[in-house]
Amino acid sequence: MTPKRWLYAVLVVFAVGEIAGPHLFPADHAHFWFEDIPAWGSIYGLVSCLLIIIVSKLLGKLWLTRPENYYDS
Amino acid sequence: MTTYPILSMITFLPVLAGAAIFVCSERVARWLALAGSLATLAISAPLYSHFDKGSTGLQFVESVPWIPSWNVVYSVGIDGISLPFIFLSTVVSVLCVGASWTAVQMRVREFYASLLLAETAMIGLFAATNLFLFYVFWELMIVPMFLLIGVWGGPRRIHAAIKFLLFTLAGSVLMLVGLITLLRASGTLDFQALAATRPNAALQSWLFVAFTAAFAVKVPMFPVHTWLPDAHTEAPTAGSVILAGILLKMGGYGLLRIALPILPDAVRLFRGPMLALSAIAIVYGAYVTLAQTDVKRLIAYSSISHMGFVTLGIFTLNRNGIEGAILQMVNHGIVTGALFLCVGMIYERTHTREIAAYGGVAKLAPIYSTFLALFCLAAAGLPGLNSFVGEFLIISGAFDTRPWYGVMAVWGVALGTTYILWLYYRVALGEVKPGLRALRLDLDLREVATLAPMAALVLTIGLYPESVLGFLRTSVAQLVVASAASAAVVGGM
Amino acid sequence: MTPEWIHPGLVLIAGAWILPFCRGRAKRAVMILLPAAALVDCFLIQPGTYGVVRFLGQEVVFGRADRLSLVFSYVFALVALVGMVYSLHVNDDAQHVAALTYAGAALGAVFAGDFLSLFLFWELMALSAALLVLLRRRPAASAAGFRYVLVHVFAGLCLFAGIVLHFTQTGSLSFGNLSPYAGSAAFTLILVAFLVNAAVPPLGAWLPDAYPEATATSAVFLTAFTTKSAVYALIRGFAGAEILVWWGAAMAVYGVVYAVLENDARRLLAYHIISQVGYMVCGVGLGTELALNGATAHAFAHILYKALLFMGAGAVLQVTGLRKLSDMGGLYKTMPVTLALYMVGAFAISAVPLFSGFVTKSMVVSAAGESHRPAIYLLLTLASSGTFLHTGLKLPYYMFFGKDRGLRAQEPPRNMLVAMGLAAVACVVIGVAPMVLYSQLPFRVDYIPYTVRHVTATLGLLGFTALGFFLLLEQLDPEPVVSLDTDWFYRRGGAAIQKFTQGALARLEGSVSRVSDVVMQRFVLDIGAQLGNIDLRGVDAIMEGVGRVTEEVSRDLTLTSTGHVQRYALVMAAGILAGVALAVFAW
Repeated sequence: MTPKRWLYAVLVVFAVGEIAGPHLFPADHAHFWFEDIPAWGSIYGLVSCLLIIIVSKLLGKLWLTRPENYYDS
Repeated sequence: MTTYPILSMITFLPVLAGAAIFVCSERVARWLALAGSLATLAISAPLYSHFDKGSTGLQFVESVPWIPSWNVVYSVGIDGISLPFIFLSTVVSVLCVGASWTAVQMRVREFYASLLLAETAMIGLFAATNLFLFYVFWELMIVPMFLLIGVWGGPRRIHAAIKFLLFTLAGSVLMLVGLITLLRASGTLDFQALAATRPNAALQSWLFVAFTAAFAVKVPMFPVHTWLPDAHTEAPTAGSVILAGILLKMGGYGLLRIALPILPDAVRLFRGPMLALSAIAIVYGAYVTLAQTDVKRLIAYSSISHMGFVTLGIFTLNRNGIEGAILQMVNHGIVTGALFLCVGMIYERTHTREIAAYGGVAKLAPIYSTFLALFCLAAAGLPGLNSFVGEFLIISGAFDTRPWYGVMAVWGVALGTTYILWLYYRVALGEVKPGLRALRLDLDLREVATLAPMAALVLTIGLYPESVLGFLRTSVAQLVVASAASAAVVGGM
Repeated sequence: MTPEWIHPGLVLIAGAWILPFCRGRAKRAVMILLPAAALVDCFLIQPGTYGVVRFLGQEVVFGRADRLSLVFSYVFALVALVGMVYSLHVNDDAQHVAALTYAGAALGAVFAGDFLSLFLFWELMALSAALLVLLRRRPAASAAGFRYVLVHVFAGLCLFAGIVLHFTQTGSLSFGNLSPYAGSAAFTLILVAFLVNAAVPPLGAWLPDAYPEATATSAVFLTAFTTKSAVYALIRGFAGAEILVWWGAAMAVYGVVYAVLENDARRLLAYHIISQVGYMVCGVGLGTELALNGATAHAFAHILYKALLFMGAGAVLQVTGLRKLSDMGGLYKTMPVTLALYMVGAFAISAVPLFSGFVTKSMVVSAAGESHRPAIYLLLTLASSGTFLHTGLKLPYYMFFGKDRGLRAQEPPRNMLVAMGLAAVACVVIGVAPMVLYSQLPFRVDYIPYTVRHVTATLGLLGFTALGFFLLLEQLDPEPVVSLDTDWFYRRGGAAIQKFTQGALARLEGSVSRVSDVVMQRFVLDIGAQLGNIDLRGVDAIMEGVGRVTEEVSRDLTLTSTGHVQRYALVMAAGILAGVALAVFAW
């Protein structure tokens, strides 16, 4: 299998484990309501990642980045 | 108490040695000067070992009638406030002799005679217990300083010497007027008697203006400070060291000895403006220092800022502030004196004072750079070194008085650290400048011997400030109490 | 110092000076023995108060040893050892002495029981760290080092002012929790000083500015001490300060945002320091036992895995000379061991289960959960995703994989690999056996990191972050840019200030000087002229003699342009002197 296929396989395993886990081992409790959403970690991971990249790139392009020699006087 | 007149001896021994120089050859002159100043230092040792730290009165007193019709007495004596200055004077004089060994080649006898005359004037001033003697030594100091700057100084020495002279004399004239007025009002010129029978409040104010004019020029306070950069820059190394090390302290000493105990109402009245001028000197002096391109001028302007700390401390009128001020005067004398010594040493080799001509000295002269680093860090107020303790005391005294002044003082410390570290960075670190490699930059034994005592003092006072503070404590406490009492209690004239 | 206690910091600071006098094997042995000795010393210290000295009428405490200071001392000494092993190949005594002094000062700060000794070691740390940056001996490093000095002098002075104020108000210098004084100027000043050292934005731009400019080996030391001693100080003095909760969370996200834009490998890692310290600051603010334990544990783990990450990037720098991601790629073939060890650090910082970050970072996040703060919890978790994105995915991808530019490389010198190995082992040990660390934490630990929910949620978070990474891979291609941070104010602003001082202020001083010159010379010259005239006629002999001497003297020298006036003034001045002296003495 190509690396990409491996990755997808692993992701499926993680997601399934995450959804199944709390049902198989109900011992731990969640702090917040959103933690009980199935595959909460996975969803939030993807969302966070995309959010960070997009927002940061936007901030950079609009405001923060300058050419490399900006500070050289 | 010793059985011989120790104070008179250490006062006049230098000038006697100076006179002796004239009957000797030039080669011997240096050695005679060294012997004279070392002997003075040695003889002064009992002052410290036999000093009673708990006593509030004068010690080692000598008194001889001099001009009876004027009620003028030759009387000397010291307390906890004068002692540190005498120490500073004796030590600095020795080091000045050592530092000028090879730097002065012209009119050598006159030079060392002037140095020794200056030492006499310094010690006499700090030992004097009446205003007359104080004034005599104050004026006497001007002569050797004028000659040192004007004869052995740099390219613009005449201008600097005259400026120094005019500024100082203007103040002195006013002090003379004040002295005569005080004599006629109180009938005595003795410090302790004057402190007991203070003039009335209105007269105090005039007297304060008169005396402070002289002291403010010497310190120097803003805005009568403009003689200092020229004088310090053009003077030869020894001259700069004496100027920065001792002469400026004479102004501060005058404030402590005359203004605070004798004119307390006026002091309280003028306290606000004095504190404000001090704060201005601290911050303004520091900012102007940042702009300097001549290393001697930079250190000179930094003195204005540092002495601003001192006057700030004095006018807080509380124990921490005054103890800090006196300690800081000693510290400044040591550190700035050492910095001028360092500058002088490298100037002897490179003959330029432009900072832009220096760079990478640390690689070429590691011993020198280590000393320079130590003194720069001391000037910056690194804890563990002497200036930190003085600044700490002054700033806590300032915060006790009016917090705003504490803030200005801290801002001054920030700027001070910046300019001194920047100076070190430009001179010692960075790229080695062309033209420096060919010179033998590092120090020889004599120069190390000159700097080492300063370094030792910096570390000793920094780690063990009790060594100085222990002497001060009782006299400062008495001064604080004295300046708090009002003239109404004592009954004016 | 009593026999039961030798200050570990002293071992390093004083011991460092042995180094310039050794050569070859002996020198390398000393380099390793010194931090090892300090580490053993730390382990032997029993909780208590040692090294009390009286100074300025106050008690100065050099050895306050309790669970909090001891656990920090262990990790400081350990990373000093690792760093020294990493630097064995460096032939620059100054760097070694500076590094050991820096580590020793950090130990001093951790054991300081009062503000005065804290301040002493604080300044010593700033100085030695600045020196460490400067010792790269390149113009960029010199400039960055100097900026470092400026920022830390400013912080030191805030601390100084705060200490003096505190002393004036309370009469005490002891260093403890300052929350009773919240809102006072002293509280704020000391807090600002600690925040600067902890590189909290907007005061933290010095960190990404200075750290990438240091040598590969110095950077390892730099990452460990300044920020973590500041964290220690925050835990000691500001536990429970509400403002730190939000500030810490914002900080965690801030670092991650800037890291997206970074092209310089070590600068990216530097922004991650800011991000991770954000977790610690947040924990301090939360103030519960779990939160404070978490902040401490995370600091402990962070020192080790951050050192490992910097060691990896430093190894690449050492071997290839490259620092920018846009220049790197394809190194996995020739530097597999470096890659593997680096990935241990990356997994540790990303809180992958079985590695140290998993058992420490989660303590802080759980504390946020237990304090019922959903927003903080979400922010910190977001930052965790970002952390993995950068250190676990972006950096290794572009450094070791990515475009093959045909770079010729090999594994770095063996001592560097050994050092990395040591740190990697520590990261794994803590992750696999957390009780090793938990037993040293200041408070009793009830926390269990390995729960099913926690492990699965973390794996999901990390896995789908990787998905996001690959989806947006092109967006993340590094570009040769710099990003503006708050250091803009004193880099561009500094030039403006310099213009001001050299221009306006110099002009002001010039005019003040001219005014006084004119006033003085006119006023005094006039009076002097009168007096001079009188005396000239009155007291011939002495006056003329003095005047002649000074005239002779002045003739010997080169005069400036205003000859006439000067000579006249000289004569006149001498006349005043003589006149006054006569009036006084010969009356």
